[in-house]
Amino acid sequence: MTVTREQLTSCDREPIHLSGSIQPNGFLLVLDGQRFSVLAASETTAVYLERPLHQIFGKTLTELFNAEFVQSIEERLPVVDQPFQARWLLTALLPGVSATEEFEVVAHRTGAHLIIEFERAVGAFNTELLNAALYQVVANTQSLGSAEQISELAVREIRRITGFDRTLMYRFDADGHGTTIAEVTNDRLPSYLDLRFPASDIPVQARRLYAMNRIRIIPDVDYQPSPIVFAGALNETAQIDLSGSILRSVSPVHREYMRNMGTLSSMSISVVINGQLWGLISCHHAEPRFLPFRLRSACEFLVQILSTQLAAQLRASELSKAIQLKSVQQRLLTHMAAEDSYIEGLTRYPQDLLELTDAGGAAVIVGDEIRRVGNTPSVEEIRRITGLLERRGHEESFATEQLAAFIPEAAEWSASASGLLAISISRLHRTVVMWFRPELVKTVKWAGNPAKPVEESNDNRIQPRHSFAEWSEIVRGRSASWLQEEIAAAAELRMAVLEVVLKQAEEMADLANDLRSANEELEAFSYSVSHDLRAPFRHIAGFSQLLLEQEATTLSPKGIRYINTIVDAATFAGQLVDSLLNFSRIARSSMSVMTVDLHSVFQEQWEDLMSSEGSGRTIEFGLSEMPTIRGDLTLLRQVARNLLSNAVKYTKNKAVAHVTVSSRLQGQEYVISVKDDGAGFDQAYEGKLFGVFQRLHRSEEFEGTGIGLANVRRIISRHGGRTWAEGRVGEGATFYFSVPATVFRALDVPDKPTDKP
Amino acid sequence: MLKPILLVEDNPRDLELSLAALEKSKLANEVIVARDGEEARDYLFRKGEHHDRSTGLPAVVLLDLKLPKIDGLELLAMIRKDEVLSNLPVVMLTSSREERDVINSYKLKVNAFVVKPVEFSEFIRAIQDLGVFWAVLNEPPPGSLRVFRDGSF
Repeated sequence: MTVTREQLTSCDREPIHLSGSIQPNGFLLVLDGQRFSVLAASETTAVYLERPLHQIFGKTLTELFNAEFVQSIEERLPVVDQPFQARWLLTALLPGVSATEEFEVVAHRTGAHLIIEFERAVGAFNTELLNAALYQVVANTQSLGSAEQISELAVREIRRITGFDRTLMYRFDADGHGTTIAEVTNDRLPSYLDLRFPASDIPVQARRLYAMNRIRIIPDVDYQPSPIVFAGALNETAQIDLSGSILRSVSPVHREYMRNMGTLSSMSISVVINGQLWGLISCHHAEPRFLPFRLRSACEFLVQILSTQLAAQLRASELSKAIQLKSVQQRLLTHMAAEDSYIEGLTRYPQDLLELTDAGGAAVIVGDEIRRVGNTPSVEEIRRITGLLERRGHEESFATEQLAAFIPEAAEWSASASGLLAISISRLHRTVVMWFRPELVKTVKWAGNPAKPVEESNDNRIQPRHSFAEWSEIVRGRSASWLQEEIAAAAELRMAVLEVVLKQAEEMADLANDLRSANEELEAFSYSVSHDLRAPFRHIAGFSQLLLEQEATTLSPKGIRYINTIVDAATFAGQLVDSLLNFSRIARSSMSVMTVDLHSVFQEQWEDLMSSEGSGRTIEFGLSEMPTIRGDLTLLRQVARNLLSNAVKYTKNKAVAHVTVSSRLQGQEYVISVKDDGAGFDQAYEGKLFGVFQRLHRSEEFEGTGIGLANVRRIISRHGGRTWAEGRVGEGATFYFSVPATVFRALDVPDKPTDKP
Repeated sequence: MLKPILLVEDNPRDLELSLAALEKSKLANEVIVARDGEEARDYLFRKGEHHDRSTGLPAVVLLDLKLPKIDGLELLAMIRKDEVLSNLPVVMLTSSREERDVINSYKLKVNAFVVKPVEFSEFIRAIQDLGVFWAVLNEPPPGSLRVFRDGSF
């Protein structure tokens, strides 16, 4: 018989605990729970009890054997009539049977039935070996640190006492998929270490059975199943639950799988932790191999000890993982607190951010900014994920092992982002942290090399290589699952970030308060400067002037010059105070924004300038087309005045000077330039040009307080623009400023109305 | 018969400069000086040592902002609230070019706001212009005090 994979997937529906047959190395009696009379029996019963089944049906145990034998059975049964699991009662010769063969008598109760099994007590075992193994296990488990190490000890010791060719530990994951995590084998059977197999290989109800009936043996896969035969009317209707049976016959699919693996006998012991089937210790032999019942019990006992140890170890590793996550969290918090922005703190130490959720890559998204660390999708792809999260709405965290289920094209990014864990820190100002995990298949290796072409002629037969292939297919596009504690750690990080943000917001508020009071102080200071500092300068200038007039006739020419100098100095000091006040006023005063036509602003200022400072000069003035922008007219006039006045001032040594004002649209802004062919400046000092009271020329060369360009920069920056300059000594200078064009572009309609059809 | 000018100035140097400027402007008007806000109020409201002065109002009040006891804005507010004085021309003559001072002054219906220039010739020109406008060109509200240069009425 050949079982195909199609049949295997239908295994989930096969009622295997009602198989209705047993393995032939013993016999089974189904008794009425009250009367102990035989309701059904395996066909083998006739062989072992040396009489036909119809002479067995309906008989009580006492009738079958003798009172003494039944008494020894009864006194070993639990007193209460409750269901109980398979329990060894005694090893005994069967009374009234000619064969001198001992049987292990094992009983369990299910429903109204008492089931007694008689297994041939063949084969001896070495008690010393068993004791040594138990000693090894008990002595060593305490010192073992991981599930893998404990599993290795388990398979090694089980193999030592059972003599199977290969023993291995399967571990089930949350989805029921299995992995071989420990193995000891010899050259007769291949290694399956690291083998993955899909949940379908061990169907759901088989796993349920394994959690209940913890040890099973198939001494010879080529056995002839012995059906359970029912007495009379019970035959068709009654079903006997054989899940607790030790002799139960296994599914033909399972036997086929064994043959395909080249294992003629097998035994498996369940590892149950907290009532859940955590794994299986599976023993295989290339030839038929029988293990006495009591040795099997010893193995079960040994595995129970190990299960306890495993449970403790898993608990400890959960705790240590929790502690580790806490310390990673703590480090991230420290990083965040140390940086001005928590984004900086999160991304500066990628290792910590990735370790928090055991991810391969991470991204921090704030507004339109995306910072990535490790192995992540592209910025554009991350934007798509952000979009998905935003569409999903009010979730604080989101975790998936299969992003492609939500974004189909994510299948192409599976190498970096099959798995996604995202936390939304703030929806008001989009702030998201994402962790990515690569596709699991890409992270898994199996020595069996699943990529190698299948060599068997009949490749439809089920076998481990196919299992791996199918498992790979099932988990394709999926990452390893996000653990609850990892999702919790991410959620805690969210709270921590919120706290940091809150704290920073509070600090900002404090800072704003400090700034406000500092600003008020500054204002009070400027006010007193404005009122009190100007007065003495006025007095010096005024009285010097009066002195000059009063004593004009008596003063020497030198004295007159001195007094004139005093007047000039005091006047200049007054101007400095005035311009400084003006400069501070530009920053403080509120802007009244309106539509400003820069062309007329420059034109007016130029005309005004040429009738004052520039009168008598020959300057060729060029003013190209200028944009209309949104801004404060008074302030923009100052800009135009300053730039033009500079151009006039620094070309004063030219007989015919040229000043050109032009504009261009560059991206989202207008760039205005004022170009002259005057004294110019050394480009190296460009950075100083726009500072307060910065001068690049000696004051006797070109007059001025040195605050004009500082004003220009301040005004332009209040309009959301930038200022810069280019120049060469002796060849002139060009001053640039930009203003945003975006606000007004929407209104850039053609002057002429469009033709109507 | 000319109306006097009321100059309210606490700083002696500013006072001297202002008087020198007024002198240079060759105005025939009498200049009455008050050295703080209180004295100016007493003069205008005929209180204290000015309780017995003859009735009539000056052509213009040249008022400093920062003054001892009662400052310029307070005095301006009193003037504007008073039935008799409310129309009296008041010019702020001050060192301050602070926006809020200007705004507050105009809110209180000041007639002009003049920042004293540092440069003396400009200062003289400003004072001269003020005097000519307010004391000569401007027709004062009814009830203004008129005096002759010699002090007779």
